Amino acid sequence: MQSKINIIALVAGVSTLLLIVISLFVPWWQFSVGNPAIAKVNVSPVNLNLNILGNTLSDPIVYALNIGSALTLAAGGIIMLIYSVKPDKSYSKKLLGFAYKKPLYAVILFVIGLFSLTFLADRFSGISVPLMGSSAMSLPQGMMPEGANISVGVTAGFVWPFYFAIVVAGLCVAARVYHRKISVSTPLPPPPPAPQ
Amino acid sequence: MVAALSIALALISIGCILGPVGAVVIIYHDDLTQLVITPEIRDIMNGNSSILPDMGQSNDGNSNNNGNSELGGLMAPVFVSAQFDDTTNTFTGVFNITNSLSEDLTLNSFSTDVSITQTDIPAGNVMLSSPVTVHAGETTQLTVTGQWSQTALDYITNNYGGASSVDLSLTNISINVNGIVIQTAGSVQISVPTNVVS
Repeated sequence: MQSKINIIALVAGVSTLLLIVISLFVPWWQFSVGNPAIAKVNVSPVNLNLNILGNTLSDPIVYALNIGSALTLAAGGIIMLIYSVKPDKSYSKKLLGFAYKKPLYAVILFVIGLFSLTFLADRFSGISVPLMGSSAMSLPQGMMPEGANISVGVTAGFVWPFYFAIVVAGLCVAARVYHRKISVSTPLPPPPPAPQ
Repeated sequence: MVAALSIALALISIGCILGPVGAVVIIYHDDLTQLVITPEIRDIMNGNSSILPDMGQSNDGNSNNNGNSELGGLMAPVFVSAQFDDTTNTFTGVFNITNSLSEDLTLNSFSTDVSITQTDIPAGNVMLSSPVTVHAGETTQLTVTGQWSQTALDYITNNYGGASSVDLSLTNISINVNGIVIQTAGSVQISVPTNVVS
């Protein structure tokens, strides 16, 4: 019997693993202070850090959640690969159901988190952080030396791995849709011979 | 088989998140606040971080740093030389600035109003002649220019005849370093050699 492969799932699985590696080094969203930048916030589900004047600051709980995200995505990618070569087994749908949601959730949670971050920064510190584009950001009076006024040129924007993540999430959803096609086209096994 | 797989996948989902989070909780169990606020972040919040330059200097009207004023805490200028052109009442001052940080800094603009400290007579204004980039850990020269008012020059000529320096007040200081614009409402007191103003 010829073995089937869900080619879309195969590409999605490889892309998911590739996305993890890329996201470790290139952020999904970047916020720069100054031109040339003297501070940067690099954000991706697997790496969130703050770089001030060449010093990188990270937070243990954020670091742990980043590792958790990387492991979750890696599990999703590996299981998607396993599924892709065994799409017609009885357990295949379980594997696919687990794997295809991971990049999708990563993108959705990332966007929600980013909106929350900018909203909370505005709400609690009075700093209006743009999601995209450049602006001049005035620091609240409480954060400045007495009698001083500090205005900071900031730039923010999504970086190409974010768009790649959307493509990966799309591939995973496509793999789920393609699974239905495979299921429909798979011939039913011959019925067992009737007892004599 | 499928039921066992479901359980295994659920455990993977939970373990991927709880594993790393549990690990850092165990590592920092003595002081769980460090999970969120590390000593470096706490120093920044308290304003005594060695990472950030001190921006909160001298607007109390009492500072006197012999013509050397920190540029927003990012670069420290050191007076080198000055020339005065008495036909146009203009002067040119040269300073060395050192960037002790690990990032390149560009001083895009600097301007200030100047007055004579003793009398508050407006003396003129001073500005950066052209933007200067100081690479990380390096020292370079910047040139500032200004034009003195005739009233101030007359006052200095009449009252500072034998003096080696003149006390001046800098107000409305505006500094643009790497797109960060710092404006101070207070004044900074400096003492400059008399050859800069006469």
